[in-house]
Amino acid sequence: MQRRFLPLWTQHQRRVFAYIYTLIPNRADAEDLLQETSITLWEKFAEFEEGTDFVAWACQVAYWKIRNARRKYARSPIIHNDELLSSLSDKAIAAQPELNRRHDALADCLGKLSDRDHALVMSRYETDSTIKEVASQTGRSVEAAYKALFRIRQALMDCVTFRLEGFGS
Amino acid sequence: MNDQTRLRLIALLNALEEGLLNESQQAELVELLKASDEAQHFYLRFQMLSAGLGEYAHEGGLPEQEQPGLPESMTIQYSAPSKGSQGAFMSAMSYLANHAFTPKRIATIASAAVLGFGLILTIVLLFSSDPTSESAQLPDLTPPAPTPDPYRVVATVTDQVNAQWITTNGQGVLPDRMLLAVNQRLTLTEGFAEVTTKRGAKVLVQAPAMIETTESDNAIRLHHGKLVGRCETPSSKGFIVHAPGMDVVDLGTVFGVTADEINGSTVVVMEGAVRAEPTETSPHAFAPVVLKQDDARRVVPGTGQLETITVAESPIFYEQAPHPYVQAVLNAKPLAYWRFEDDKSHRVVNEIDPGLYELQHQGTARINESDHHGRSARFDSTAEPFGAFFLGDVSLHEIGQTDLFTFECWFRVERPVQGSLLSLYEADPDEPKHIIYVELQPGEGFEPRKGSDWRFQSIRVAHCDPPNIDGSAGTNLLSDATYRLDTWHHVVVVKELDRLKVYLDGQLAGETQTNRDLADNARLSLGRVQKKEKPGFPLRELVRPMDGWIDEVAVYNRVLSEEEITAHWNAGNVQKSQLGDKSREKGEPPL
Repeated sequence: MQRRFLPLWTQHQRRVFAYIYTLIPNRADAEDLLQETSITLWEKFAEFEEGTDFVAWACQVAYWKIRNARRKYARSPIIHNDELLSSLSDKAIAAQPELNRRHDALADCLGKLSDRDHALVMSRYETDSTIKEVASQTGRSVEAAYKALFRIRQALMDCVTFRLEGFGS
Repeated sequence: MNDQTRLRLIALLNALEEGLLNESQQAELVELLKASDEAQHFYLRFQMLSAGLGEYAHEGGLPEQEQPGLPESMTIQYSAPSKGSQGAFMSAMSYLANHAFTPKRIATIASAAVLGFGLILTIVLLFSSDPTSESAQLPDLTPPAPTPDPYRVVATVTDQVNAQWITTNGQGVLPDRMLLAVNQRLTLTEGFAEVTTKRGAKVLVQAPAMIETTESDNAIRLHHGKLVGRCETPSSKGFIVHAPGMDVVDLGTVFGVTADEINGSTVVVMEGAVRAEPTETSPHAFAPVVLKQDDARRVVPGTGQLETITVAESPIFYEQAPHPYVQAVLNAKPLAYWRFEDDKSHRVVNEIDPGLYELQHQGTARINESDHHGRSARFDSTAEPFGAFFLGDVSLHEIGQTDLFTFECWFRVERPVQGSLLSLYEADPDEPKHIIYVELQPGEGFEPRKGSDWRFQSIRVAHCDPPNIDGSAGTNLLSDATYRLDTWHHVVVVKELDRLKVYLDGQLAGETQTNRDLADNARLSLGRVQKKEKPGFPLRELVRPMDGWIDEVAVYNRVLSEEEITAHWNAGNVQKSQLGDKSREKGEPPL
């Protein structure tokens, strides 16, 4: 039974991570929780019903882990509001197909970035650098780096939306 | 979620992503999210984007992006998905498949191997930051100014009524709330559509019209057609309609703008005020002017000057009347009138009765934009299979019942080959038989068929009675006027009982006596003769493909009088004076 876990986990862990990240928007915290979730899922995998939605099950497990570790993840602004946490969790699970499509579209949009913007994204996300580190690495002021990343995210949001809903679809 | 809320949410989410939200901003974010489902959905999309960015960067590069060429001064070591990371993943899989592990070890290995694709978890932890230490350094969450981006959404198609479109991706119906990116060009061929800019300005566009978004999120370009602009939100103030020769800047108002090649661009103010400015390409054509309610202006084509017109003179308030030539032909009540304006699937609809006498397409004939402000039938004598537009199995019975017939069209010759403008023929199981054909005689260097009467670049009209396969019995008429290359000419052929006449550019160019009868089973072909192939006989000589353009074809079961023919020529030729001297010399019709 457990041998079937790894292929499923390999296939879907990105989506589980994205779900966790929406509730704990800090990469290190989210990865910690992902690891803890993976262990729990492994331990409880016998309870998983074959043919049901693995991602939804995994997200539920992650959700309860988050609720049970609020103090640990206190820097998430939404974690202390039960109603909002629950609402976002439900919406994140329900919106999985759309979010998955957006993730795929993001790949195309990233390919459209200029070299300079590409380098900035790499600087920021490859090693989860702080904005200060990004500024230092790219020779910008902190404010300039912040605003450049702001602009890039906005452009990518528009691009993804455009590709899914606009003429580029 | 209004624009202001949305912008604030974006600012807060960017600060959250950088770990820079202070406590009050965190509380503000929570309140915004609690306030609307839309905000929550936006939040999820934003977070998914952030998660995706991290994932793609961890994988070692951005998809399909050439190596990013990082500046040497940067200290980051770019690491593509390496054999090492892939190897770690594969070995973990293999190891797990073959060994018994405690759950925690398995999960740890799997996470380390799979999660980061080579990125060791501890590195992430080393790089994690303390957000609170920096939050005080960036209290300003003002969004930066937008910069050009090819996918930036600047407008939405917010409403449509029977709208049909042509876009770069094809033609047809657009989905509701279609998003429009920068520099998106659309042609509305039917119906109405409302387009709303990102800043909230609305334009109601009426077909036929071509519009285009611009780099701005508060502007629309009108290439031709009509629109009414309405700016109801404060953020849309300053909305611009770019029309040929004129930019119309909203000053809080409702206004109409039209654009067409003949009449130029016009603006009418219905409420409030606008400023009419010259365009960037003609910055000194006229001085910017503020227009108030019931003011109207027109940019004169050619000069670019702004002239005052009355509101009633602006085409925004009335359907543009058909061109005088088209109106003249319609008034003359032909049996069929083919304008070649519809390039969808080569359909050539009879303007008199769309259900009758629709022309079919054959071979390499095309409907193309031509050099006279519209589409025309294009024929190429060098491209096989030689093309035609023809009636197929349908006969023009009416002309045989009256023995009266008029054929009228515009044509332009590109290569002076012996080419067929019109062929009326009788279907026959063995071989189509000529009834009447109108043929362009060749120019120098293009010898006519042996045995024919001919004159360089004249019009030959043959009436074959009885119908026959080679014109051996009947009447030949050669025009004494000749056509010029690359010039639009108006030709009319009249068969009035026993008289056969040809008119070129409004003037009688030849006349002769002929037999009275006309067959009543005449089929029609434009651009080539319908003939069977004969072994050993060049097909080109059999079918005589024309090389050039034909347009505005009308056939009548009555005779057009000389007055009518002159009037048609004048109506079609009046445009020459508006197109300038060059056009006058070339005799281009306006249609």
